[in-house]
Amino acid sequence: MKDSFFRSMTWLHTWVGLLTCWIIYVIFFAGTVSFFRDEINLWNQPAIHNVQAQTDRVAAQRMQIVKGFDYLSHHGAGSNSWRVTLPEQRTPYLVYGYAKPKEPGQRRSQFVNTQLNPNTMQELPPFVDTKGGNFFYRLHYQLYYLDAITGRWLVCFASFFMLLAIISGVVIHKRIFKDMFSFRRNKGVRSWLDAHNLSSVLALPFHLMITYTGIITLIFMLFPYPALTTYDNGMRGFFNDVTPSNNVTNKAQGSAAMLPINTILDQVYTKWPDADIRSVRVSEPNMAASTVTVLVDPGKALRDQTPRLLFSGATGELVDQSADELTNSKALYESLNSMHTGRFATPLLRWLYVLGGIAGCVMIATGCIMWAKRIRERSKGKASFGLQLVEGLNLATIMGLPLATCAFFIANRLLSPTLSGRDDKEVTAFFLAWLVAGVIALIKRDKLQWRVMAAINALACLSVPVVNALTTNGNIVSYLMHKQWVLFIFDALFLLFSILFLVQTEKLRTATKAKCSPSSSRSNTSKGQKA
Amino acid sequence: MQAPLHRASFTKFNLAALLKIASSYRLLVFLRFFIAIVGGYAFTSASIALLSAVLPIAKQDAVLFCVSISILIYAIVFIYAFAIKSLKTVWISILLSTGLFVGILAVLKDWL
Repeated sequence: MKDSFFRSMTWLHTWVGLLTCWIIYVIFFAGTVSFFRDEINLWNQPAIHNVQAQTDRVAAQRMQIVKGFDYLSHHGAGSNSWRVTLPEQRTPYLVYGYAKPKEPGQRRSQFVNTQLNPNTMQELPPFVDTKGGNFFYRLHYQLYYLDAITGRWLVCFASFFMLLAIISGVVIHKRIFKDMFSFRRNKGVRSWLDAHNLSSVLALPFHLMITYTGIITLIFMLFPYPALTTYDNGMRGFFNDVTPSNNVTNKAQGSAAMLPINTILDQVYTKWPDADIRSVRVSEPNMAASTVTVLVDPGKALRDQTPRLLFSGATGELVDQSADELTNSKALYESLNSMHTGRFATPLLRWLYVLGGIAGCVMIATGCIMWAKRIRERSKGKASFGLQLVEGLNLATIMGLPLATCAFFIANRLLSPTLSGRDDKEVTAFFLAWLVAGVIALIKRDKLQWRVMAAINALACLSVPVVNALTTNGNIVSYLMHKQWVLFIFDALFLLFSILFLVQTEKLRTATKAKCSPSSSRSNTSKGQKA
Repeated sequence: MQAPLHRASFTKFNLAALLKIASSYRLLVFLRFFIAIVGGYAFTSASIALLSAVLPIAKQDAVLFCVSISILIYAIVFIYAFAIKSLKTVWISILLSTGLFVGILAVLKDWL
């Protein structure tokens, strides 16, 4: 639209980026945190802190499933759905669950779950009511306080704009290379630009991958048209075609005794001798139409749909299964999805994912701070409403989200376990803390306010391990002694962030001082402001 | 007294002219975003719907392939809408090609 392609792309990069940077920051932040979804679930649930990892996890699975079916046939006799969820590396406990009858207005029936320690097969102390890592996971793709579908559309379009910002950013980077040799007086903005470029370029393949695949995870909402035009009965027909289902006995009438689960497991282990079973689900137990679905861990394969075998519960006949070999299109689609969720990631790769996510947060934060700095320098003291709005949103979002996250975890420890609606109150704490950051940003948005927020954040991050030590039996030292690495790293990360925010507070103090003296060096602020 | 007055009227005149340009500039930007977002969406929808109908592979594979590349198509159209200088060209090319795709699809599917 401008005279040259470069200028058009620069314009597009600036405006597309600015329009969506705060919502994208929330998405990136929550998404990065979500890579530790299971670890957060563990931390939020003190009942499972002391469950040891099993020595031979896979070998114990058959016994656990058989015991589970025993348990469920006693307790869940009238239920229409059973579930045995086996322990995994990151979720070290066993769950037996059966569905309660659906209440009117409910889309899915609720499950009555019993959690067990897999080493002793004893019931674990009752779980506290918490959303845990699932809160961040949902926040990541459908936001909060919004209708789920509206939230997803917003996330989709914000992500698409992010993708455009990345593409246009790559295009204009050539120009930035040229500009590197030209003299610039404004070292302040210049350093922000360097930080922006560094965080973008270092993790560029990650940013491109995660943004593209992120939209793909919601693609059937965004573009249902191929499925709608190809299948006569639309999306339902398509999904029926892709998902293995019991079309053999699912219409059978009347009740029928369940076959012993061992006969079904025999078939599973004949097909996959080293199967690492994730869960066994039964629909319509004790009916002729009953289906037993055995889900197996895909290991490191790039597969989104968990490999599964479907049996008739009454006859033990194998009725359907997921494809052993994926077709090219399916492999493409499934690998795009599984690359985004990273469920296959080993600890090292998981940390790389997190580092990529942090680089993304830095890229977005430096981008919107840079915009505000540039405009402020140009406007020479007179700040327009738009500039003030941008500065306010910058402060409230960039510094507010860490504070809100701390509040969420502190609330998890301080709220009484018996409180009704406890999980929602944790979320309320999250948004209240964010609101506080918003109010601070509303008052003023200068360096002093950034310093205040940095100091508050340092204190909040420090409080998380401290409150944990005061309210539970463990603390960061005991975690280290007992090699409870997940809990130790969780607490240690908050200490690390506390120190980083402290460094930022200190940097901002010297920066505000330097501003008063005539020979000001604004570049000081560049590193400190992003922790 | 004379000089400031003169300057004031001069600024006023400039401001009016500027406002006129700005409003039309804003309109142009809006039109470009509109064709990029809505037109790009329509173009992508139509093209992948048509592609999934004509690809000579299994139905579910065609659908999965088409949705996997949909965002790539959308992004290219969006960039195209901002890269081409003439707004008229952008509007006409996107509308025509979208219409063409929908037309072919309608013939193929016997919608008419």
